Amino acid sequence: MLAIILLMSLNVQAAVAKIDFIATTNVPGVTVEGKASEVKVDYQADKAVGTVVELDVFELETGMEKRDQHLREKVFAAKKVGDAKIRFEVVEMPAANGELKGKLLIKGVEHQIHIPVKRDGSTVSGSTKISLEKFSLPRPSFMGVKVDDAVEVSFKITE
Amino acid sequence: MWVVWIILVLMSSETSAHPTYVRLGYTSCTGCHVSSQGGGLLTPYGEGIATSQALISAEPEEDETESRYVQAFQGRILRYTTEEETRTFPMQLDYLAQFKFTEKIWVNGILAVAPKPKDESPEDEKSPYQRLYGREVSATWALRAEGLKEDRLTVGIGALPMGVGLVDHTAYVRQENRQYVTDLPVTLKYYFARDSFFGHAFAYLPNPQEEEGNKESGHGLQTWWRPLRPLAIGVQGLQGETDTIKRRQAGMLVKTGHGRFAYLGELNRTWRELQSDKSEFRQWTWLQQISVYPWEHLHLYTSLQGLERDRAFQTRERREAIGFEWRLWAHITLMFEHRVRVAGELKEKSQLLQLYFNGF
Repeated sequence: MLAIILLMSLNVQAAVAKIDFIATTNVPGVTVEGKASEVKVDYQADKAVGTVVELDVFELETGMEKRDQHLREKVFAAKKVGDAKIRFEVVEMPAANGELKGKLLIKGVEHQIHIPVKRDGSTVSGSTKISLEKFSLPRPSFMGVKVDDAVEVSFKITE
Repeated sequence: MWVVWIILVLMSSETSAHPTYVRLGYTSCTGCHVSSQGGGLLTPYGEGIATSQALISAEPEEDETESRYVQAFQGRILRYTTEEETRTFPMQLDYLAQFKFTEKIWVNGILAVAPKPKDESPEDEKSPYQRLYGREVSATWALRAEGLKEDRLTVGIGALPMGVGLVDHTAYVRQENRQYVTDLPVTLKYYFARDSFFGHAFAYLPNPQEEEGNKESGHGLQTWWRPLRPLAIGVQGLQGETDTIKRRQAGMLVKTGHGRFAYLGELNRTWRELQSDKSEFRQWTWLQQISVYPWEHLHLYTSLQGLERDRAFQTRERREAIGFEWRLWAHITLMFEHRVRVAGELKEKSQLLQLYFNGF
């Protein structure tokens, strides 16, 4: 019985979320693109409400080590793993394509957000713009290049 | 001989351009370089990236003050080895400057000293100031710079915006495409960038500094489409005319990369018509480069370039190269390239070792 429960719980953890973000800046030609590619989630297509996606900011990668360090330290004030987490909980999921409602918690600041999503079998994907100011996050700058307030975040979760 | 040295110097003109940074999401050059074609003076952001990507890296100091006058020197020492000879000589010494009248209008200048030719005869000997020439003397008007939208108008002496914009070794394709015609005409360039495309449209007239046979007038377009962030696909075309020859060039370009890998490619077709007897000949040139960055400061690459020309000029050759660029410090890069040139029965090996400086 214990083995069956364990197997079931392993199955629940099998879904993977891929999260991408693109931040434009005040300088044309400079955009910052990042991702967290292998975020484990307890997502089940038929019971999506209550699904929680949680990642540590150390899981975010922009393709350049120095930029990752700036992202962690300047935006999230995180020195080590565990200092800053991003958590999203699904509150309402449309049965087909539509609007997903959820709660986004970043460093103690929580807001409800609505994301247009597409559902394709066991896969759900969508994108939205997140305001850094709304979540009390600073707009990072580097040598005169400053990230715009609205950061486009997209995701894809596959069961 | 003078022409040969000028060509050698021009070959080095794009040394600090890094099209392989497409792997980091930088498809266009304007974020890091003052010039929309890349190379030369860096923006404060470009300086910051160079500083943080070097072997001896440092956290760049933020400077909020906007400088109206920016200047730098760039130079290189080159060691060239073939089976017959080994030579070490100063290859390039440039003074670069930008003066901003306003946030939207500025002038750029690159004053270069051409190296002393190896076999210069005493009667042809020139003093250093006689070797000075303007590699760039231009004025730019930034019509728009907001978000991903950018428009710039540049007029003056400067390199044509053609080619994938590679370092040194790309110059082979660039040089064969223009075939001794000046690479520094007086040009009117319009640079445009939008969400998913960018490029240059240009028209040019002969540079008064050039010798008669090298003076060409023409117009062209190079435009890039960016379907994905780390992928840019481009087309280019040019139509030019000198007193003796007409040329038309069309080409395709690609640059892409991911993480520590990058790929650059270029394929060109050129049609030439001799003005004297209206005879035509054609050529293909191509280039491929694969790059790997085991560390951010070390760039390893292998490239294959080729040329095929028909009719009386029957030429077929290729140049294989393997090399590295090692950014030791923000302003100093050590470069090495081993080249094999194959033309018919001829197989020629050479090595280039360069120490490149760009900074102040």
